[in-house]
Amino acid sequence: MFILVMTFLGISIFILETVVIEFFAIGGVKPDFILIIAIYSGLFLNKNIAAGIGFTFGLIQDALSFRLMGINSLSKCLIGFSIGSLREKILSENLLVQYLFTFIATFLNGVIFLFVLKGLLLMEIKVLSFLWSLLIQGIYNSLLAPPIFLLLNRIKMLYYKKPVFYKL
Amino acid sequence: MLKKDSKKRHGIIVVATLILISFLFLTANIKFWKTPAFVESIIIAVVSPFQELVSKTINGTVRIWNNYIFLIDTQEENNQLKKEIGKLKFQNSALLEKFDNFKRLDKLIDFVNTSELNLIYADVVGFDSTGWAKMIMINKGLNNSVMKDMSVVTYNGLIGRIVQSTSKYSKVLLITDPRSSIDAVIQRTRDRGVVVGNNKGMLEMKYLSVDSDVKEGDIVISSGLGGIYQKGFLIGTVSKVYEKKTGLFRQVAITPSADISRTEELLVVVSPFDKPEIK
Repeated sequence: MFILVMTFLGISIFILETVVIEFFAIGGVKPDFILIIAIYSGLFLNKNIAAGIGFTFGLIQDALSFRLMGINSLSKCLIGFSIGSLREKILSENLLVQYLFTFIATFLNGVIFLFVLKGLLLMEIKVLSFLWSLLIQGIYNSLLAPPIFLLLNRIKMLYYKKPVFYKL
Repeated sequence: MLKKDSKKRHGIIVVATLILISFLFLTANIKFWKTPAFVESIIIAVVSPFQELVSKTINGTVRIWNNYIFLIDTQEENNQLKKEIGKLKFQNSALLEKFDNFKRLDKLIDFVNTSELNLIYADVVGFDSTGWAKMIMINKGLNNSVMKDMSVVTYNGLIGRIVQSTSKYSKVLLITDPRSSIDAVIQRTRDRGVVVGNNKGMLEMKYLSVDSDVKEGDIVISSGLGGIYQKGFLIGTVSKVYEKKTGLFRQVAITPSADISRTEELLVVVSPFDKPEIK
């Protein structure tokens, strides 16, 4: 049930993001809510589930974009799994950890993008300008992540005593 | 203990499979310049109706707020005037282009090509969520005769082209995406170049002759070469001319004439595909 609620919530956020994303843009840089959900899954859920969520939402993101198939599903799956693997060694409730992990994950996601777009798809991208956008997006995502994590944790709390949750 | 190990191995296999699937998609994308269309079609068919619903609800609410609650008369009048100015600008640009063609005795062909546009009205239902691509989703598809490579315009100018169509929805690659390239001419000097997106909402014109007398404020239109965009579509205005450097070409920055990020309604140009050839 919890996974169903999470999926519904994720898709709702995703639809909202694709519809009203332009309102969130600062200097052309937009936050990546799907990445934030992948990070959340890594920090608070099982690493395999985090990888699955990252892959599924990344795939949806790819399908609704143009010729980016595989990039988001790969990066978000890797990010969800990597953070999930580190979960037991870190204090995921710590605000600083949340800021730091979101920033690093944004940077990693961007670097995967840059590598694929420039190195493999041979797109003309100005690296310096791209990295600058990445820095702004990293800060933007980091600021948005903790309140979103809080909201998702509140929803998770509703299912806290359900046995399904313990399996996560 | 054994059960735990098996569970762990099972998890790793699942994750490795997911990563492998992503790599396969990526390889298909890079090597064959194609993506598995059925995956995209299924996802678009499932997600886009919700996008359309949410988009219409939000736009409707914003419209009600702006037009009836916030500023009942002024906002409406302002919008009408802006639309009128945009329409006149578009018409003016098309007329100037026709006038130039007239002088070069091409008027008949161009008149047919530019004045009888068969346009289909479409609403924007979603934007690209990655931030790294400039793409929008519209609520018209194959059922409405909207097909790949058709141009998409607004009253203010060119927006992009259709890159994928499903039965009810289509993806539009915006002219601001780095993967978009348009063969274009500077309207005043007739110098040709290629306009590409810079992913930051602006455009750049490349391969412009180093001798070109291009100036800030010059209007840039599509040349009609390349087979996708018709001749005379307004692309934008030259906003910066970079200093001449050694070499064969010079570069200029262009501000798109259409307000691409705030566009809600678009027009898909369908006529060139149905028109008879002029001999």
